[in-house]
Amino acid sequence: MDGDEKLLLEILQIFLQEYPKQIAQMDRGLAELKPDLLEQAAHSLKGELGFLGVPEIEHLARQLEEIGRRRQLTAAVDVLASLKEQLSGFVEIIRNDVGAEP
Amino acid sequence: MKILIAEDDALFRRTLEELLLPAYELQVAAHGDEAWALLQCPDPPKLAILDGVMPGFSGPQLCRKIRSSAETSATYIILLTSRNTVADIVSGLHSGADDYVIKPFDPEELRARVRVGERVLNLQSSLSTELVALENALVNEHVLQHLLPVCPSCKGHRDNVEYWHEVQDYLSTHREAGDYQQICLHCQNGNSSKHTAPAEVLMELHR
Repeated sequence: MDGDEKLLLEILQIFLQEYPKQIAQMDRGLAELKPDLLEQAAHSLKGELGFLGVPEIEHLARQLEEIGRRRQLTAAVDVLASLKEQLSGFVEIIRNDVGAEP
Repeated sequence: MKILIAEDDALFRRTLEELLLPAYELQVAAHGDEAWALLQCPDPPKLAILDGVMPGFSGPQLCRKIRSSAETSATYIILLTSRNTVADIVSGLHSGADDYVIKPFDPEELRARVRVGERVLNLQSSLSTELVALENALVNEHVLQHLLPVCPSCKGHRDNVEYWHEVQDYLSTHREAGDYQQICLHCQNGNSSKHTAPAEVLMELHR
């Protein structure tokens, strides 16, 4: 395993630790009617997904960030549901890569 | 060289560390205010990589603070931004950033931009060293202008090309040295003999 591959695995592990916090913050934003929370978490997730090279899911995070900025929380429900669904598929793949327990 | 990394996202923080270690000495902050505190320490980092959006101070807010403080104003700042509209980039540069990198960044591009920053900082530091040397040289030149090689016997003076002249000639061509001709009180009184002792001249002047 070379240095780049080792770093990638480390990055994926950090992502596995971080993304549930961002999803939780987006849920909280919707539940507590705080669009700022949604915007911030979606912004972070968008950056990470872009870095990891998954543009389809990054696009959903971008939409959620925009929704948060426009403070239109009702529009977020469906997009967040799609994001969670697609993210769970992606997470399953990278869990296999890093050999982590689900 | 010491570099400050201010990035709230653990994933990017780790990536930046990996890219810049061990070539650079790193100080890492996860919040804007933590980054500002690190810049207030003695011998702060000369180059700062700031995330545009983070808790505490945002990247552009931090840029303004860094530029407005004398201790940190020469810091080379690279702003990380995930927004790539022209307006965001322009406002980032207006806030005082020297350069920007759009997230997600290419590792090699980021390293290359850090090297550009390092080059600019080295140039700045060698220029200021030369400026100090130049200032010192000017001071010395000023002193030299007022040093005159004079022969103790004939009172003639030697010029730069080894010719000897009357002191009178030198003074008449070097007026910047001040009033070059004055008849002293002793001579005014028609005394053509050698001057009296300095104390007596002074007493004469104060009379």
